[in-house]
Amino acid sequence: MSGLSTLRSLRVLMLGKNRIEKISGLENLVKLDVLDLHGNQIRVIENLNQLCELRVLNLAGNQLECVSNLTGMDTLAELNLRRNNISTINQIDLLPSLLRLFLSFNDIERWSDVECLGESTSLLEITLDGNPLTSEISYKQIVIKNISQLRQLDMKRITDEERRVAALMLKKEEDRRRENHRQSLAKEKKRLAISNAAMRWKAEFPFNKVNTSIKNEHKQTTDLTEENTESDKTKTQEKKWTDEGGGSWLSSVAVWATSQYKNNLPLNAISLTSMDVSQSFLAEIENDNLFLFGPKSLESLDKNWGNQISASVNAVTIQFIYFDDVSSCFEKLRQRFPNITSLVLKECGLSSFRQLNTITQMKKLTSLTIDEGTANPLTQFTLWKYYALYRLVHLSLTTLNGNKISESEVLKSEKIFGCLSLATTSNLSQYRLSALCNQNATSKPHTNITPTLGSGTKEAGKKKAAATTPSKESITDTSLPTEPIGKSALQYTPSKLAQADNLDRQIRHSVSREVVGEICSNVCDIATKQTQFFHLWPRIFIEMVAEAVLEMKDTEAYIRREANEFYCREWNEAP
Amino acid sequence: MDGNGETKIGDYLEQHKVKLYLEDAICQMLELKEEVTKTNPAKFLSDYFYSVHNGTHTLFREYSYLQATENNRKSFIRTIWSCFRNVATYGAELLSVKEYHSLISLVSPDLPLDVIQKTARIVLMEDALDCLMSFVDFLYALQLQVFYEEFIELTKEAYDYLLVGNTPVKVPSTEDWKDSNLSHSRQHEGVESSMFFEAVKKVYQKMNKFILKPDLELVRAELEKAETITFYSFLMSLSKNVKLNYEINVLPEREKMFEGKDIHIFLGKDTIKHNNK
Repeated sequence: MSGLSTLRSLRVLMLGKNRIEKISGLENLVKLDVLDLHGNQIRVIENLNQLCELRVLNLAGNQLECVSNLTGMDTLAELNLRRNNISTINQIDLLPSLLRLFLSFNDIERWSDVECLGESTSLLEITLDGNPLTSEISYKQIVIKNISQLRQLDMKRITDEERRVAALMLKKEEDRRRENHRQSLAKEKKRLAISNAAMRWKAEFPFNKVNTSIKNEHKQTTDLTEENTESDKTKTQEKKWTDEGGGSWLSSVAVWATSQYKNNLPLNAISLTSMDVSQSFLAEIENDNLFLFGPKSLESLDKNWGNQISASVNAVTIQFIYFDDVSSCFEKLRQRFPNITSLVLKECGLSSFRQLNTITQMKKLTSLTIDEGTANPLTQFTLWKYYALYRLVHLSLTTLNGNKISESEVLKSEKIFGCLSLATTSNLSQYRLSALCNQNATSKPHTNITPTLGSGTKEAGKKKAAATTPSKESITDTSLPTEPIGKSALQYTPSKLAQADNLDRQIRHSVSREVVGEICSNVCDIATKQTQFFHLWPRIFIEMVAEAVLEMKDTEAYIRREANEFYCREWNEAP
Repeated sequence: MDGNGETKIGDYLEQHKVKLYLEDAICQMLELKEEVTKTNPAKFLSDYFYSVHNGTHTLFREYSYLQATENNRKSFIRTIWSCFRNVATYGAELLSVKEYHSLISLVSPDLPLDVIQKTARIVLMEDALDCLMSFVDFLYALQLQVFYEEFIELTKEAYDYLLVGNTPVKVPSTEDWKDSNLSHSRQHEGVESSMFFEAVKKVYQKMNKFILKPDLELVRAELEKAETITFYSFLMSLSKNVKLNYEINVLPEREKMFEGKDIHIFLGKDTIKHNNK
């Protein structure tokens, strides 16, 4: 395109349907108002930047692939780019007056390739038909959403209705994205919490192998977190470990309750209670299962989880918490989640038979599982299952560590440990028995006596009842089913409770020692006085007799003397 | 005169541990004051002393109480026997130290582990302390350990002293009796029984008269059985000594340990118990 350089005042230039391959030679045509270059072979937009009065530009039917270089055309109002091979557009937003843009029959596939359209504030009309983009499901909404001031799309007016729909969709998508983000964040936090609790536990039991099947149980994760877990976990674990520094617990707890927990579906009716970040604890309810990791998660039992959720929970799994801490919370657990029928104890450090006694507080328990091995050293004893059966079978337990409990096992456990209850009823005084019962029975004692209780006990109860006072009998009868309670003799945690008790005991001891000391010294005094007296008594007696005899030796004088004294006494006169 | 009288009284009180029981009774009263105020203290005291007399007072009590008097110790051993003898017959013949400890903690909550460990030493004679022990062996050894605790300590000191004297080689300056660094050869050699007996006699003379100890004649008879003895083999044979068991008068003979009905034992009607307490 040459030879146009002198046409400085040219307003309209129509060069359609030629074979122009390159735009050039238009440097001096600054007054140009309309430029028509349609039906040529132009591949690149260039050399148009000086056309600052151009209003209409027609580049339809060319071979443009990328639209750019649109700077400088400040008055351009209409741009026709139909029937090109355009796949990307840039710099449209640099045309401050652009009102109409025709992009029909191009190669635009994704909105992200023509993003700058959204940046334009002047665009009122656009056509995009004949582009692959239009086959998107929400094509219209996308366009309307991104070019908010648009009035016509593909030659059709945009109604308010459509605008509203678009806005709504926009919001929904925004929400969904935020929700997913939040979910994955929370999931990540959960994993962190669990793994930190595990770390803590490992640190205290260095020989332990942590049961890492927690990951398998929490398989209900989205793909996203699954990927993240492996790589991020190690990184974040290390990070968190150094953050904890001296190992001071964070005081807040993360609590996450969901009623339905499925992948990739929008969650409805979530009750997120608190989103305080915790680094080492987690309490969550998932599919009717309550999971507790780390000691401070027990504090979350105080929170209000909602009645429906609480009532639906029927199993509780506890990991990475010392059993002593757990046992102090059994009562609370029972009150908050009254329908718990299954208890699973993973890494809990259960180490002695006595600790099993506290499980009787979970009154509706039908299934008990205690992880074996170093997680709970108790399981290394040969008799632990029998003791558990003996102590807990009256709770209508049916399954122990995944195995159904058989009659013969129950009988055997009764045979082995039955003497303990015999001992309790026969040895403990009425006072101690009732004190122990009261300490345990916050509710009324069980009234159903399980039929598998060995007959020995019943006989013993009856015999003993016959042999002792009636008051003892009543206690024995009511305590038959609660006998185990008498035997539980409370698992005192070796911390505050035991210390407080010891203090009390010491005080009592000193008081009683004083009392008894006094009594003893008094007794000693009296005893010595007595012995002294018995020692001296003969002499005293003789002296008394001698004195009396001497007095009465001279009868006459004696009579006179006594009579005198008598008179004086009566009339208060001197002798 | 006065002084004598007082010591006599003091002795009497000490011998029958009157003070201790009274103190404990009052402690219990304070602890259970809720229950006690409903009836009268006199009844409580009578219940308490009745159970002390019957030997049923030690269930679930703290270890310091169990150890305090001869009566308590006897009662403790008896409780263990009556409660757990079925463990051996129906449960498992052999159990580990920790398991025994856990079992006995059921009836005595704060039983220290080292009591059971010391018992294990007697049973296993310091070999392979992780071995399992049979109930019978364990119980008799426990009886010895609990009943004659001070005796064992004092004689161990004497034994160690002798042991040091026997070896011509350099020995470590501190001889902690728990320290298993004592070379095995020295352990197995032991000391001459007669020397040990002389040492024990001296210990007896120095001992506080209220410490429980087996009859000296019995000890001599035991020691005469072999030329040299090691301390734990001595204790083990003591624990198996029938006469000593008879003297303590709590457990039946070894063969009869599992006889008799449970209920009879608990009601104190068992015929195995010989002569009155």
